[in-house]
Amino acid sequence: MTAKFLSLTDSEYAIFISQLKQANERLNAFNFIDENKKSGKIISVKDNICVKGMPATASSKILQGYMPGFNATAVQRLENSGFSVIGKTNMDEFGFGSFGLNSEHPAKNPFNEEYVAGGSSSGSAVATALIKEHVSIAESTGGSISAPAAFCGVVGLTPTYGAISRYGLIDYASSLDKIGFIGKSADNLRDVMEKTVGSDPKDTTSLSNVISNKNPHKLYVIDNLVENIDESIKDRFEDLLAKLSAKDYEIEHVNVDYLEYSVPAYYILSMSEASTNLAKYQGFKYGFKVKDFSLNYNEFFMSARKQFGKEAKRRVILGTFIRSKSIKQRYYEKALAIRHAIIARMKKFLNDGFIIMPSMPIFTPKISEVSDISPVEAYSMDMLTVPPNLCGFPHMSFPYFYEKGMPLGAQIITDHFNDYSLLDFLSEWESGFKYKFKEEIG
Amino acid sequence: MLGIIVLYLKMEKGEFERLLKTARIELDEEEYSSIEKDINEILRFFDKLENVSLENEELAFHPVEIPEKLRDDSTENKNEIENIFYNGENYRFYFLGPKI
Repeated sequence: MTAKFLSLTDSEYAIFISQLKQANERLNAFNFIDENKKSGKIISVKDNICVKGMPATASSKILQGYMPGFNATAVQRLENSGFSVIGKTNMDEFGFGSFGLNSEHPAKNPFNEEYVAGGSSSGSAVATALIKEHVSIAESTGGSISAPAAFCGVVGLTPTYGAISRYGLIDYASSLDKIGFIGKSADNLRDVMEKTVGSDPKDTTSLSNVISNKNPHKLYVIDNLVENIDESIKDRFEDLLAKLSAKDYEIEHVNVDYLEYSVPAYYILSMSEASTNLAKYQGFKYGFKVKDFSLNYNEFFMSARKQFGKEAKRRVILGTFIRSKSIKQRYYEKALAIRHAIIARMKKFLNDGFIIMPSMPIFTPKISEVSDISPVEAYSMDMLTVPPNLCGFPHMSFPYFYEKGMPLGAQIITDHFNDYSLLDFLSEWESGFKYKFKEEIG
Repeated sequence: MLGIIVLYLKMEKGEFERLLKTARIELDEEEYSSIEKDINEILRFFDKLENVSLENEELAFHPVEIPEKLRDDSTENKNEIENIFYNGENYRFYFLGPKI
């Protein structure tokens, strides 16, 4: 097999755009579709990653009107390799959400529009399900690639922290943000990964480490993580383990200390970092402009920051609180220590095996079922996606089962810089699995 | 010690108001009441960390080791002025902002 991407002639292109716009009216996959003819292999890009000459809003009103004059490094490297960006995909505002609902026009699940698409890279997952041979450049901080990939029946690849430059990414939490990909073929994902990895002088946290593919045949299941999920999900996951066991994978059940603290630790770190990263939105440099220059300094900034959505406000307020000198040790430093403790304990198992688990603890919910849940209930839904994200381990959500017409995803994790082993695993899985989609255009 | 735990389990109104000023966030009535309630619920969730023992555990500021990178101490002409001012309200290459 080789990578194969959608590439259209002039006459095909107009039809494709028309079909895409029609589908987008129902599914809200895109915040922006570029109708200009594209000559290259078509990809889409999450709306918090900069593409020269296309709006970049991160689905926030405060960035309405912002038009970057440059490409993110990941985008530039793909354009240099013959790819063309078709548009910018919908997302939770600044990446703040697990269901895709923190957007003015939330993306809808391509299998059933009453259900969530997952977040925060909601539009990237929907676009990938919708467009033939598609890959979308997405981004994950705490599960923003795995969650929508699982709910939309596509593959979400989150690389090792630092493997891909973050230059041109609208920051959420700098020590956690990772540019990655959503696709539906191991070969396509490998192709875009190979073309984007590597150190970048514009991002000092980007790394030049060689990405390997040591392929273990051992799968660890973390019992103390999986024990709290939906019982029916557990049953389907047991079926998956039986299938993998039949493919000669050795399954071992283990426990990992400190994982019960990973979700609060993640939210403490991510909110702290978000509150500083969002300080740059002040009403005169990016996007939304405050035109009343008679306001004093504080009034001016407060006036601009009214444009943040409710979840963004909540996270900025909490992040500001957590960073207070008097309580920094109580929350922030403890969260950093928990991250260190979990990395060391997970690495013990990742030395000679993968870790595998369901991607999400519940079946894809209806929009109406999760639109009013409390923040803590929503954050707790990230219990499976947070550990690899907190620790920067490369991981991948892949579809493995369909129940009542909806897909189920499992997540596989490997050691830092062993990212290609995930794609080798996927290639093997694809040899006995058929992806299903309700509709595909292109 | 117990006193400190109780103090932070619930954020008092005065503390919340001070925080809004520091974060430069203004809330409408509906947002105020729901976010004030949410924040106390979230802090209780965070306080799960209160009893965890982490003696001698290092602090992981990044998930992987990031080597120190230094650039050459030299000037370069990037000619990025147009990019920088592309989106901002400006006058003769100065951003227009509030009075300080």
